[in-house]
Amino acid sequence: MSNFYQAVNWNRQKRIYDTTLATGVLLYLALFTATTFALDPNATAETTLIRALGTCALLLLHLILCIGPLCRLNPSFLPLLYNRRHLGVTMFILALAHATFATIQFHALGDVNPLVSILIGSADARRVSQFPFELAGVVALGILFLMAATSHDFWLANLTAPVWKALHMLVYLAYGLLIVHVGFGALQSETDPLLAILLGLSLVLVLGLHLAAAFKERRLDGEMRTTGSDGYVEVCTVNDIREGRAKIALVSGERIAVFRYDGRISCVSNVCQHQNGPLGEGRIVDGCITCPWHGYQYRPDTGASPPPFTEKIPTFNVRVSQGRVFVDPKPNAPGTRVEPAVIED
Amino acid sequence: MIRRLRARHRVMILLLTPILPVILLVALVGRSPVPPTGLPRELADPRDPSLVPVGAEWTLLQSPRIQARFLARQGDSTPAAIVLDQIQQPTLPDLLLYWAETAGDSTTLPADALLLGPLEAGKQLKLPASNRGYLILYSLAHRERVGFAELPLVRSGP
Repeated sequence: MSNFYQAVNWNRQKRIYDTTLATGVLLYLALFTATTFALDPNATAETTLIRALGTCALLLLHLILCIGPLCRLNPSFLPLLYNRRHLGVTMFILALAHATFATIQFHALGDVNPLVSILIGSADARRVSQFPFELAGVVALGILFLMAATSHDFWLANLTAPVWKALHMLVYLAYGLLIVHVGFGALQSETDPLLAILLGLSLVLVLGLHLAAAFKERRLDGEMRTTGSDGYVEVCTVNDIREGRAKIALVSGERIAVFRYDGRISCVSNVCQHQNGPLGEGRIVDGCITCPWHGYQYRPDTGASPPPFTEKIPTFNVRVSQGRVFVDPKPNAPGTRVEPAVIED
Repeated sequence: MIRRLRARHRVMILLLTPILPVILLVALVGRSPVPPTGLPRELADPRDPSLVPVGAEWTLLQSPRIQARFLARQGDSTPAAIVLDQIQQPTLPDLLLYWAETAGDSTTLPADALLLGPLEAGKQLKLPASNRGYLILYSLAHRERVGFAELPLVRSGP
């Protein structure tokens, strides 16, 4: 969390994350190269490098796509989410290097402009082996570039989180295009069944995790609420909420987070201003609601970030009666102070 | 994540779940058999140690300049193979040497053209039984005949 922009707001966690990432990438590239030369003495350095970069980028993309649903299913994966954008930018750089070397190796040595050559290289979409898989890769790379270029908080704040997230959902289109790129490209000549099995299993893993997370979320949104005569909605009992934690509920078409802390109950929007993270899955730290994704903080009674930060989220009027928590479904303007409900003994 | 985006995300995943495995299956089922790498056995290493040089060195082509020697079986003057020497670096890549009864035209190979092998210095290329015909240097990539020469009448001994 920062109240000004800088390229990377370094801290200890980010250094550990990025060091681990860089080490992992270098180790993978070295291992891939060594294994390739050990198994195939005729392998050329150029092709090996292109394949090492491509497979590394694809592996990272699978990891990136798994982090989101894993965190929805099990909060212990949240540390992976913290710096996921660095993972995404690294993946884009690897994909760009793969594309650059592949263009030089396979398209730049003829008498046709390399970019034109990519477009017309294999131009018979009716035949599987002639399918223009390069085009799928080029479009996917364009999407990944768009995402990497707008990954900074500057763009997140200026585009607003919903627009930014909608834009970054294009990653699923990019993923589909990359399955086409690999399936109709590398797997046409590399007939070792192990490669096809690995890609198939990765696909099943990504889709399976997303489906499991989606159904879990859908169950939560489908819970029925009772509305009292005063218009307040019964959300849960006080005992349903652990100290310093929250209960998430769907009220008036959007999720709210009901926090319990210091013998009181406060209710705020579940949506973090930063990246729309689920505040209700966070906890109270130093008297503030702390987003589990990137640590953005809000006071539970006002929904405002502590100074000098300026983020604000809507608050909700709340009351406790006979151990049950009731919330007014009408949100207050972001940053409006609401007197916390006191938990009766 | 706000509910609208969550719903869009769910729809996207529900759409991708059947589509992506089908795409992968189509790609795997529809792939063509991969041709074996390298040349067929008879072209890959046709060196026959029993062959001996016959006749004088012959200039197959002037440009690019390619000299050649003929090889034949002991006591037989009919060339059984040809060895290319002193190959001047051609401007076109991956040139192939063919034998045919006729020279064809500048862009197409004759229908009866027989591939002898790649243009490579020192490599023994097996000739067909007929001692007449043409040797054609052809660029498959550019689909053009680079040069041709009629096989000379070879006489054994000086």
